[in-house]
Amino acid sequence: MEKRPTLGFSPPSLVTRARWLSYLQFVLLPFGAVIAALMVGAFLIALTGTDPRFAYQKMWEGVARSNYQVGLVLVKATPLMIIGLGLGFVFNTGVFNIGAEGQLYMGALLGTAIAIQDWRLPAWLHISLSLLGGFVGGGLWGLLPGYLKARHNINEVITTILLNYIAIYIVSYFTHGPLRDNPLAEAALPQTPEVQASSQLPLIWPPTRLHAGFLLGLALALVLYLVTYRMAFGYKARAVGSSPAAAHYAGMNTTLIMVIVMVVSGGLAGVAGTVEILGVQHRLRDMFSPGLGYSAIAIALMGNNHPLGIILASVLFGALQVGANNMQALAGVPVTIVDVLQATVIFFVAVSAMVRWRMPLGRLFPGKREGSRSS
Amino acid sequence: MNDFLWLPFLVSLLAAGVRLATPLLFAALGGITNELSGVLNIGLEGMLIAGTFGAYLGALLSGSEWGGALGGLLAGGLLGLLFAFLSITMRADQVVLGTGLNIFALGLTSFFFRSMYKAGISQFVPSFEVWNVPLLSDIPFIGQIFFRQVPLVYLAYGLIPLFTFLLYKTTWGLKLRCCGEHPRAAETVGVNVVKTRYLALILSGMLAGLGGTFLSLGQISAFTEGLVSGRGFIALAAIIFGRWKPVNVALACLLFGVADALQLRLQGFGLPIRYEFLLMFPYLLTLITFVVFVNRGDSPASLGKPYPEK
Amino acid sequence: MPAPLLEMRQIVKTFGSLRANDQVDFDVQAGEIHALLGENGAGKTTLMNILYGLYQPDGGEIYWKGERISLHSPRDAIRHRIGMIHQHLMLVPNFTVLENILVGLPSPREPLLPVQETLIRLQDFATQYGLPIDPTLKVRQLPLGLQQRVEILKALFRGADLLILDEPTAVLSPLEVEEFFAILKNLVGKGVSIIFISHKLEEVLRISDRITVLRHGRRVGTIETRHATQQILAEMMVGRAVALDYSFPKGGAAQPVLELNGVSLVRPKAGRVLKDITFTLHSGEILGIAGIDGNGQEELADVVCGLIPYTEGEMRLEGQPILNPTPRKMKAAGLGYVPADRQRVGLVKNFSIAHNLVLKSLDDPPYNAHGFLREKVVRLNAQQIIQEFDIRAAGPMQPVGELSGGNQQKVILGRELQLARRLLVAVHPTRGLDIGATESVHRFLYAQKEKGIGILLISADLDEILALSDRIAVLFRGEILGIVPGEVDSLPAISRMMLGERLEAIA
Repeated sequence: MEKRPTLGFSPPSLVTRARWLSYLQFVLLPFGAVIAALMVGAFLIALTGTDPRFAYQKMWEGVARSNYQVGLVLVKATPLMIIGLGLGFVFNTGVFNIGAEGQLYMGALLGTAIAIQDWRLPAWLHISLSLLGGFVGGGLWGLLPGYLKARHNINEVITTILLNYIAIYIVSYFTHGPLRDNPLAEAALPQTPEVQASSQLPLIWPPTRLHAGFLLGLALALVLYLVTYRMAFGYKARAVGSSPAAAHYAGMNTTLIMVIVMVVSGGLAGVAGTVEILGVQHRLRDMFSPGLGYSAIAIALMGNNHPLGIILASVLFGALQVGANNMQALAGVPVTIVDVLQATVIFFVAVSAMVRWRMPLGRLFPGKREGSRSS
Repeated sequence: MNDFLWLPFLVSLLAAGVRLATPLLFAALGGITNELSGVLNIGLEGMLIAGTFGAYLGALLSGSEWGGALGGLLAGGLLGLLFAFLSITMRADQVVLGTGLNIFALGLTSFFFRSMYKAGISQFVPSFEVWNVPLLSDIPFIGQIFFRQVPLVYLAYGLIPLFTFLLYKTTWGLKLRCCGEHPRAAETVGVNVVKTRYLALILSGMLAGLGGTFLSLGQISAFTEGLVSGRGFIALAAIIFGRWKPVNVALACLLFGVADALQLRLQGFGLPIRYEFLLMFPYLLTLITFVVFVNRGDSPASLGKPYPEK
Repeated sequence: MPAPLLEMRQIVKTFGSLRANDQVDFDVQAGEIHALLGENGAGKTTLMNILYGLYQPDGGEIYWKGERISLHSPRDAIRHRIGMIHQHLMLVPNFTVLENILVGLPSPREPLLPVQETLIRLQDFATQYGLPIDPTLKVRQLPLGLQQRVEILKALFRGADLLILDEPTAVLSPLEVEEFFAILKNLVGKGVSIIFISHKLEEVLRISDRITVLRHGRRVGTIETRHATQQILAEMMVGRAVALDYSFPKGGAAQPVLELNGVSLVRPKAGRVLKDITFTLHSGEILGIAGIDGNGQEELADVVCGLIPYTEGEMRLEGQPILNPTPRKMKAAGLGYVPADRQRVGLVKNFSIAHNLVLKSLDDPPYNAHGFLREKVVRLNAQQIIQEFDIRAAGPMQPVGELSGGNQQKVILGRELQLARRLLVAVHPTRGLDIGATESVHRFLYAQKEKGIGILLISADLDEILALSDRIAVLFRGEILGIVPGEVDSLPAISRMMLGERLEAIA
């Protein structure tokens, strides 16, 4: 494999053929993925003896029944969105960061450590510091594999996954030990004390549980859009992702770019973890993440690594999660079906990325010589 | 410390290491096969998971542990087939697919398990009994370490010389390796690259399925979630660490198995090391060895690239 | 006329909207060497890939030894005793010669590998066909000429009555070409018929019995070699009376622009790739670097342009030493670089033409303002260059991956000529381009020389080098063996240097 013989691949990303056609694909792809996922889900539900229509009805009710439910969907979507934005960014640069789970744990750790301190700070300061801590925690956790990949071409898939397990155990240590709430109490749970009131994210849509983190997510989406598609750095990062040899030839510091992008991606995952604590859980519990870092991978892929797609995909996944919870409560369908749905989405996206390239668009552009096949 | 009996500790540690390395070995040997054929399968974790549950089901339905092994084998093999179809025929990105496969297997097994058992506790099923190899198990130390294990362990270690032979001394092995190095060249001498890769993946899945069987039937005689816990990735690291050669990879698996065994024993020692750090130890060791020793340039030249490229 | 050994009738093959083979008739007599001639893209390899079973024809029939056959895979072709040696060698570099030959061979002792028997047979073949080889060596240790020999042995081992050779002399030195032709004659003597694909007229005229010319997927005609001349063939290939060579006026060198002194490059696996490179490039001069592909040309270009740091020696730009050159530094110093691999290195396929044109200037004004890219300026620049270089595209925002090879090269030229204020390095600039595009590129390059830019032209195409260069250096195994004036009289010296003789040794 050219001069880089081990295992780093760039995942499928949007190949811009015709503008209008790509926008169409933009919409069709997630749509198709969801349909495929729901069909697979229906099949599995039927296998266990439950009526899929009944189950999906409960799922829909779980989402659409009231404002509260809609708010819940957006709450669930928030951390997924923020992590997903970071992943979209790093995937576009050709680094397949599967370590978002570990990065979010480390970020949550640092962010919570700051948030539980009784420093009598004004809310805006306390929240900012905490979020900053989250970014630093996650960013550092992404720095190591990022550097190893950029400088030594050490496969990031394996390093980031191993670091996930390590991070989870580190946080476990802290919630069982130094940061434990009421350590001397008899049935002390492995969790930190509640974060200070000054660091909790305000609710923005009472009576739902939607908090300011959602707005932060939207703001971050805008920022990432600008950076990726409007700033020179974004172009450079995308060049590194699609043609690393060309990027090097053009004088770009590919190592630095990869490291920066990995740190940002890890940092965003860390922010997401912190947001989840500050906005929803209000304390760091052992094993608090239901695989958010992995779900976000599906979201980034489904959103084609583009901020807008990622927003939509994360709302969709939030809906799936909320709906699935309702489906479990009222129809007895285990909530882990969401994992199966996610995986189906991943398969669908991965396969259709290949299919897209086969579309016969040659006729649309004059001057194109189809197939540079030799003599 | 003078009272401490080092020798029994060491022997017991190594015996446990040999045992704990078994699922890694199954997965890694299968992984070598598909990687040498040119397909990168990071879904080994998912195949192991499928194996754990498939084995449980198989043992439950058949009433025997060998039925369970068959179940594990089938579960893993089916996933291998799915992966082969998506990566070879549909030509989707192999790393993305592998990630998806892991999530898929995790979700699917959990879904079925929880559908079957609302309380989340499985039944006990027939499992493998330790079988002492006659004569060999009486050899001092070595006998205890290697020859007093469950049959799956013997199977796994028996596969090492078998695979070495198959990969390097047979026509099939040469064709397979050619597919991984230069699939076009293989095609031009009449090798069916697609078929070879399909078979390699299915075989890989089946072997990982056996690895999963060991985790559920060979260790706890039941099923719970979280049995695999990253072992699929440790197996991947072992493959790279061992440079795709069966014997070296097996040694790597053994190393990680011993680390796992060590961690378990240290927990009971009351050492001033926190429990979580001990749990972390195998992963940390894998990471460090991987980073330090990964030797760039030995991988099959066409690893991970879909064929044909048209 | 006895019945032909092979007859391909009315073969049609389409890829999307491209008719690679358009009702082609082609036949081969037993015991002949039949050349298949045509430009890049004429359909020669496609036709032969069909014959070897790699592609299925969309129309037409194949008759082999009088019988109608259909070939669904190379297995079928091998069964019929048709062998093919591809342009890009189908060998596994990490395998030994023996292993490469053994792949796919049926074994009498399945599943064991028939190592002993094969070794013995190999010996026989070596003597019989005059193709000695050491079977224990890894293929990557062999020079290209010997690697090709392994390919031939592979085909012969499987039994070949017909051997298809696709551009076999592309990677051979003149001496190896002689040896190769001798082997071919030997093979024919032993009863093997040969199809020889090439675009090199002189070779085709020397070695073949008959020549079939393809153009744009159609068969133009078949001619007996004794009736053919280069002029006739060129006309058949291109379709109009073509002046076979043109050349540009030489001279005009002025101040030194680039000096290399004792530059060497050692690489971890490949060893000493460049040895003691010393030359001076002047402004207004075209210095051609000739040599067979693989002797260090691309490494030399990468070193000069700062992509790879050299191990020893010194580089000077207009007299000033450059320490640790990087692509950025060299660009700032006024260097333009047209790389050998235009698709992978020179362009970002997913980006538009406009963005590729400013690929090296993303951080510079006027394209960059406070970190943001000024799309309007980028687009205007693109429109200007598209017009100047006559790039055929739908618009400046079209992804560059959709353009034809020639247009892609123009995009690269457009960008690099803009950047080359002092010197330009161009590596294989016309590889894969048709005659029209090639002439264009040559004119653009020459225009730069007239402006006073120094040009380092690295190419394996001797015609191109001779047409453009004021002086010619020959690269062999990473060393410059001599520098001679850029005129036709230097050819004999150049040929000998390409084979390893130093200039001083040649009287």
